[in-house]
Amino acid sequence: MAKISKRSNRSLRKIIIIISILFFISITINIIIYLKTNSYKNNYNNMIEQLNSITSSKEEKEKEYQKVSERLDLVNNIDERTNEVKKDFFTKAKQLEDKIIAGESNEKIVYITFDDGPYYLTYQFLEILDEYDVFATFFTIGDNKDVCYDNRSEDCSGMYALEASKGHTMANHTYSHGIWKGLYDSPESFMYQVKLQENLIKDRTGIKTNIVRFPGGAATAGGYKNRIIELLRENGYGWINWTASIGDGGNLRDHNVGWSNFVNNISANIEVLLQHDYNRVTLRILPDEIKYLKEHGYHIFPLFYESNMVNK
Amino acid sequence: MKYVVISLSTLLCISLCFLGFNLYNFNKEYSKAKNITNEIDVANKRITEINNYLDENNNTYNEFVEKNKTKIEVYEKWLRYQKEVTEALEK
Ligand SMILES: [Zn+2]
Repeated sequence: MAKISKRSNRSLRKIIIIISILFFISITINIIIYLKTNSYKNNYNNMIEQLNSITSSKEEKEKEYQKVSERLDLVNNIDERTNEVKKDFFTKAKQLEDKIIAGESNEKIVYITFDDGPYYLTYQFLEILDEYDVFATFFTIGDNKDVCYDNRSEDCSGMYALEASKGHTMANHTYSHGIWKGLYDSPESFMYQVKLQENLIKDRTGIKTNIVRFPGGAATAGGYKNRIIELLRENGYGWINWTASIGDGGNLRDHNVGWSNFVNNISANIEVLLQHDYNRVTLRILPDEIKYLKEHGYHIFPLFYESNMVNK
Repeated sequence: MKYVVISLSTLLCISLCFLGFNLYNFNKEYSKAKNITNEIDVANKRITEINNYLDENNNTYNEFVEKNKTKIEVYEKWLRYQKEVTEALEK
């Protein structure tokens, strides 16, 4: 009995030792894990703070990214974007015209147009249009397509592209403008000069014109007028005369006369103002004209094919 | 002796229970911390990405603006025209 009890005592002691060791190990692990957990817990706030600050700087970066990628998208597709805005403008300008014509709007529109260019003086017209933030319409011809007619030592060949690059409407006034030189000999001779000018403008600017102004006005075509209009329509063209003029097509030298012509001519709710970009009087009074028009509530728009003023 | 074994075993059991509980807590805190670290890593990575993008494209943009000043000015002018006609229509 004593032997058995001694043996069992020994094995109990062994068990006690093993359990004690296990217990201490468990306690140690517990302590380690507890401390580790606590260190995570204590660090938690720091980490959150770090995360918050990184998140907010990330958000700022995202905004910058958005801005830059939008700007890049714009500059990479600048032609497309410009055309979208332009198209929307023309659609709305047409709607505005419709409302004005129907008497549903008190707004007023003027289309400033310049005939017979380009000339060396055109540079200065373009500068004024830039300065006053105005788009105009240029009914160009081709006769003086290279050397500037009003300054033989200067090159005017880039003027078409310059006008177009500034967003002005490029329109067709026939290549030769030869009222007394065969332009109106037949409908075909007229169309030939329209096509010549169309090709020149296409070549210099990449733009296909679709608005024609008859040199001297549509009446100058006499009996051929209707046939020419038919041919124009077949070739995708509309045509336009003018509703107001300052009489600068001839020898207008006195700016007071020009100014009073201008003021006396502007009255309708939609005006198509005929001027010439070779005339110094016109150049001189142009800033005052623009101011006057704006003060009198006119929107100064560039011409477009869909306009009610463009006959089709 | 037996009592000692029983009480020691009980203590061991209790400590093992605590161990379980502590492990659970540890795991919870650890995954929280890991998540935050991940989020920080992701954010940092995105910031680096954007910085690289900005470095690359700011130059492209500036060069383009320099070369195409007129185009951008004309675009902005059309925007003003668009605004003007839109407002006129709404009057
Ligand atoms: Zn003319």
